[in-house]
Parts: sequence; structure tokens; C-alpha cells
Amino acid sequence: MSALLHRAGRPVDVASLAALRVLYGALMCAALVRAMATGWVEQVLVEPTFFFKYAFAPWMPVWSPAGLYLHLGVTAACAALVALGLFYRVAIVGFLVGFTSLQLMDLTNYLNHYYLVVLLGALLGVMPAHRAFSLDVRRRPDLRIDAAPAYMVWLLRFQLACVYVFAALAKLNADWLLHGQPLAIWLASRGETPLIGPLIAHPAAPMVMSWAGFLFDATIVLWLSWRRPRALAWLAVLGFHTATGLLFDIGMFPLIMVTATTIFFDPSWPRRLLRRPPPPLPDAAPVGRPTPAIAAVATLWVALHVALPLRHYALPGDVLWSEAGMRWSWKVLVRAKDGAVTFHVTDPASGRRFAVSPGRYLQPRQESEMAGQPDLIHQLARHIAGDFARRGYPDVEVRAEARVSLNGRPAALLLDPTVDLAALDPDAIQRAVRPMPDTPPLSLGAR
Amino acid sequence: MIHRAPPLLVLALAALPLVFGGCDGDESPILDAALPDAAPGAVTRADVLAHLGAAVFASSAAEFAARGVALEAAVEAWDAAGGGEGAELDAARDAWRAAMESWQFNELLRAGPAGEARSFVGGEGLRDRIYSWPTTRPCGVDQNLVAERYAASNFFDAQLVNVLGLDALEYLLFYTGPDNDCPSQVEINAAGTWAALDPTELGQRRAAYATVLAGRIARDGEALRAAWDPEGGDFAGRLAGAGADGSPYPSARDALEQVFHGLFYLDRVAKDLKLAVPTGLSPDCPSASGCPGDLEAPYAGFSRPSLLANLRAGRMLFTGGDDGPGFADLLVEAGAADLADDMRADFDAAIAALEGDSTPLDRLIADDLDGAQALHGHVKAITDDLKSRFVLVLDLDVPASGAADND
Repeated sequence: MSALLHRAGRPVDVASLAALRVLYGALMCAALVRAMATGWVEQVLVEPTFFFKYAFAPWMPVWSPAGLYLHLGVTAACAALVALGLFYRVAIVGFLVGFTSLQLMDLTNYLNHYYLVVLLGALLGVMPAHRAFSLDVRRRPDLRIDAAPAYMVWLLRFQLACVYVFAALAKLNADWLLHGQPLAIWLASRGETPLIGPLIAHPAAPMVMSWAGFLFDATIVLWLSWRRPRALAWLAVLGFHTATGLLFDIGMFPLIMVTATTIFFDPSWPRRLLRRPPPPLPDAAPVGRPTPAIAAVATLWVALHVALPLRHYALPGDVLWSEAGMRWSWKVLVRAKDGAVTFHVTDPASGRRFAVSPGRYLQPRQESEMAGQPDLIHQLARHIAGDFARRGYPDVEVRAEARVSLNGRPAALLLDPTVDLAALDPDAIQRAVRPMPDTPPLSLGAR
Repeated sequence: MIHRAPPLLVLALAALPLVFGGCDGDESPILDAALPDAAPGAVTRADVLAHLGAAVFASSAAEFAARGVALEAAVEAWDAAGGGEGAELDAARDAWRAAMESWQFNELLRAGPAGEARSFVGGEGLRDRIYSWPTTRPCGVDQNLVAERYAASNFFDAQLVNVLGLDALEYLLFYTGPDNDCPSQVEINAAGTWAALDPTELGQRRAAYATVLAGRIARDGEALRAAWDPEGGDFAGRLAGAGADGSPYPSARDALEQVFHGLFYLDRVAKDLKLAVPTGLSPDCPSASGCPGDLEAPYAGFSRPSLLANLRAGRMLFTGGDDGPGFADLLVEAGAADLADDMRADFDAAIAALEGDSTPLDRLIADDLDGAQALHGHVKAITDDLKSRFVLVLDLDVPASGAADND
């Protein structure tokens, strides 16, 4: 243990932390400006009248349009300050609060890469990433350091390793490896993509790319961690994420991964790039030496981020169907799922029954996201019960007819349609989830 | 060990071009036993777009344009006869029904010039100009009658669409009563200007207003036809050439998605507005016995034919008709022939349910509420598939999801 602590405290060049800070801040600033410029704010946070909430943050408000733009503007400014390394600690906290609260406003906006942004920001926020290559150092030269303890780089590498390794684990299923789904569905609609269209339209493409994707995710951390093939491996990262970025609407994710994986390079890589000699490293890192308390927190962090993606193994049902344990698990692009939900509302007092479309409360994008996620269906069911109470039906029963297709299977009922969701405790929603249909996914052979 | 291990990933990635490059058709070295070739002559998205653009969009626009011209002529004849009741009014009403039936078919054909500019590539908002339902305002029509605003040269610029389209024209042609649709506090009632109108004068004004509207509807119909016509704007050609130079669509997938968004009309409008509200399945209807007053086209009693035309248009887009491919062929191509069969059967069942009974929907709601609600069920069967396995298998995005990312 002491040997490990000793190695964790070994000083390494702080330059790669500083470079990651610069890249991270610039990318986040660009992402937020993009969100403001492309209509994301209006579509996702202005036009909806109902917002799905995380169970741990039901209080999160959604600001007025002007407030939202101010929120994004301030958050983008914080991200720019992070990149510049100016007033870093305040800026990164401001960015994290702004970015995280933006995600908390509506659960249907959850994306794995937004979660990764929060985690990387949290880690960078406690690291001395601003004490080199920053305006803070120019402002206060006494802040400058040349070295940081190795465990800081390790933690960032661990966080990125989680993404790849658990993404590989998520692909370890029959749909992905034996049926080439959902890639087959997605590639079939992209056969006219310039240059690579004929390749991805080939009948073998889904299976080849499914296996290639699995092998990439499963092994890339190994290659990136190994000095000799590292440069080639990073080029593979660049190629892989460029390809997925061109093929799928995954926003900033490819850029985040391509830039963040630079942390696997030798910590002095930025200096080499700038043709500056690596500094002589001190015997011990000047800041953040791994005390037992820091070691305990780091261990807890690692344990938590290993346990979270694995928790679905302790839960009943197939995670891709039930969604129990789906979030914060790096199950990236592993399922195609769409559904149609109708809420059947009954007023026991009058016997009157209603068929309520989610479109009454949701934007099409929200409805599409909700349709395959039991907890979101439950949230809307309870909202509908409240809405009916305001209309003079105080004790309605709300049942959901949710017909869902997973990876092209014939649509099946996701929830027991006899369960009154209005009376169901939120923690009990998984009890209403029906078993996953045992039909195979859409067959490649039938194309 | 690690140092001696071959870089499997690099080998795997390096093998990709070999796998693809070494395969011509059926020569996949690793998968040829399990996977068939791409069938020669298989239906593509481009095929569907080319067919739907020419055989459905362009021809439907041309048909509406012709009926719009006939409507204008019939309404002018009614106006020339001094308005009021009579054979000219009957002829004008028949012409309205013919135009409306054609337009209800076009309601689902939102891609291109008919759609709103903010939602559809090449959208010119012609739909709302021609027909604005459910945004209607009969009281506004009555106010315009009293003030004779329809005679002003800037009338169309000064008015909202809810007093200008086929819906306003319906009110003028089919409502001949002496009263108006405005509450008592509105000026035409409070000041007595409506009551002061002579019934004959009122009839003449209705005919004059109708003539102004029919003229604009005919012009807009012609604009829509010309936009799709290969000899004119050739939007059909631009739809068919999606992804190529000269087309506003970046890819056939994007273009097909726009056509698909028109099908969503069946869910948001046909099912939720035209049926759920009047049949009392929606909380917007306060009465347990239904709200027939919320039916579409209430003055003409044209809600059943309108729904029928909507469903026929949906079926036409889905199947492509008898002489070309539609979405169903893409489903078959994707391996979901069972879904194509199910949806075709659902369309047929819904159409048969509407064709098999000529009872006006308001009467049906009053006499057989369960029967009326069953129509909702028929449309829901179609839209359930549309929103679940259909969008998934064809990898289409629902409307208004363009700015969001995935992962």
C-alpha cells in the first residue's frame, strides 16, 4: 500500500493537466456557444411546458428564455476562463454549477458525454491544472509549478478508461455481437454517405463494425496505456471518433474523447509539441501529495465509478429494456429504442375514461425519449393525475399503454397496462416493467 | 507479455479495408455464409422520394389547384347571383366539398412549399394560407363582414390566416343564419352594427367575401402546383435528387424524414384533435357524452370525409400506391415485412371503418359514442406503429428533434 502511495505521489510534468484544462475549457465554451446558436435552448428548454426531473433534484427550475441565455452565457464565459486559466478555481466551479444545473433542468437531455463532462470537470477542478500555461501564473508567478503527483493523471485516465471499458461491456450481448444491431438499422439509412456510403451499405458492414467497435472499446485503453503503440492507438481514436461523429448525431462527444485521451500521452507531451524541454522534476510533487485522506477519497471515487455502471447486474431484467441502471453506465449507442405511449385515465367517481396522448404535455423529442424509459413514463403519469385533479377529477387512475420496440423487435408492452401509475410509488416503477420480449432483433438476414 | 502481444486493435482496424475492399457482392470472407447480398434492384430511399414526389405530391397539388379554380368559379357565380340561397350556393358548396376533400389529402403532404419554413426545407407556409384549422375564428369573419374589410386592397396583409382559408370559406358558404359567432360584448353586437344589417345585404356580403377568399385559395393552389411541377419549380425533382447538387436536402435520409413528418399529422391532428376531443377521450372535452361541436368543418358536416382523405393520403405515402414504392417497401427492404403488412392492414381497417358508415360524425357521437371512439382506436393502431417500430427500423427522427444530440 505504501509503495502504491509512493508511486501515486511521484511527480510528473504538470503540462498534460494544463493542456487538458485548455482543451476542455475551449471545447466546452464552443459547445455552449453552439447550443445557443443552433436553437438548442429554444427547442430543449423554452418550447417544452413540462420537464422531467431527476429524483435527487426535483427542485431544479427552468429559467425564462432570457435567464437561460444568461445562464448559458455565464457558463460559457466560465469555460473560456478555464481554458485561459484565469481565476481558475472560481471559473471551474462556476462552469460545473452552470453546466450541471443545465442538465438537471430536464432529464430527457441526459447524455453520457454530458455526464463525462461533469466528471472530468470535477476532477480538473481539484487539480492544479491552472498552475502552468495559464494567465493565473502570469498574474501570480508564485503559483507556477512544473510537477503534479502522478495519481492525478491516473484518475483522469481511469475516468476515460471507464467510458471505453464499460462501453465494451455494454456491447457484450447477442444483439450487438450476433445480430449487428442496432448498427444495422443505423447504417442502412446512411448508405448514401459520401465516400464511405458503399462500404457501410454492404451487408457485412454492421457485423464487421459491431465487432470492430467492441474490440476498439475493449482494448483501446490498453493500447493507449502502452508506450509503443500509443501514437498509433491515438490515431485510431481519432479515426474511430471521427467516423462515429460523421455517421451519427452525437454532437461534441467525438471531440471530447479525442481531446481528453491526450491525457494518456507522456505528461510532457505539450512541451514536446511546443519544442520546449521538459522541466527537471522535483523529488516530490509540490502540491496534492497523496495523504491517507486523499487516498481514501480517490479510492471511493474509483469504487463508485466502477460500481455505478455495474449496478444493473444486481437489478432484475435486461437493462436495455427495463432501463434500470442505464444512466451513468456508459452504455453508449448500444440500443435503438422507440415507442408509442397512450395514457388511459379513468375517473372512478364518474366512470369516465380518457385516452391521453403524451403530445398534450411534451415536445416530440421529449415524447420520443420518454417512451422507452419507465421512470419517465411514471413521472408523466403522475403529472397527468395532477393535471386532471386541477380539472376537477381529483382521484383519477392513470395506466400506461407503452408499446416499445428494441433494436427492431416487434413492439411489445413495456409496462403492465393494469398498474395504476398515479398510485404507484416512484421507487416501485420497476415492478410494473414487463419482461423483455424473447423475440430476436430485426434480422440482418431479412434485408 | 504485453510487450510481445500484437496490437489487436490496429490489426482489426487495418483489416477493415481489406474486409470491405476484398468483398465484391457475395465474397465477404467472414460473413458470406450468414448474410445475403444487397438485392439487385432493391428499393432505395431515392426511389421512394422520386415516386412520392411525382406521383403523390405533384399530382395531389395539381388536383387541388384544379379544384381551387373550379371553386373560385362556382363562388363567383354565387356572388354574381347576389348571394343567398339557391342553386348557385349549392354548386358553390359542392365545389368547396371537392376542394376540401382534395386539400385534406394534401394536409399530410407537408414536405416542401406547403410546410412552414421553420419546420420544412423549402417551406413557404402555403398550408396555413389555404387552410388554418384548428386555428379558426368565425367571429372574425363576422366582424369582417360588418366592416366590409374583405374589399380593402390590403385585406390579406392586414388579417390573420384564421379568417382567410378554406375554413373561413366554409363558414361563409354553409352558415346562412341571421346571427353571428361573436359574444354579446363584441362591438358588432354591443354597438348593434350586426343587427342593423339587412338579411339580403348580409347574404351579398357573404358571397362577396367568399369570392375574395376563393380567389386567393385558387392562386395559392396554383402556386403550390407550380412549385411541384417539373415545368415550374420542380420541387419533385429536388426531392428526388436529395443529396445531389441543386437539391435543398443534404441527403435522401433528410428528405425522407421531411416526408415522414407529414405522416405525424395522423397522430397529432387526426387522432388527438379530430377524434379524441369530439369523442370525449380528451380532457379538453368537458362532457362525458362527447363534444361534437369541436369536430372539424362543423358547418359543412365534413369531418368524416376529411378524416377519410387524411387516411387515404397516409396510406398512399405508406404504400406508394399501385405504381411505385412507398415507406412500406423500405420496411420490407429493412427486413420488417411483417410490420409493413400490419400497418397496411391498420390503414385498410381505419379507412374501411370510415367508408363503411356514412353517418355524420356529430350524429355518430350522439347516437353511438363507443362507435365514434372506436375510430380513434383505428387511427391509434396506425400511429402506435408509426411512433415505435416504424421510426426505429427506418431510423427516422420525430419532428423537431434536430438540435439535440445523442449518445
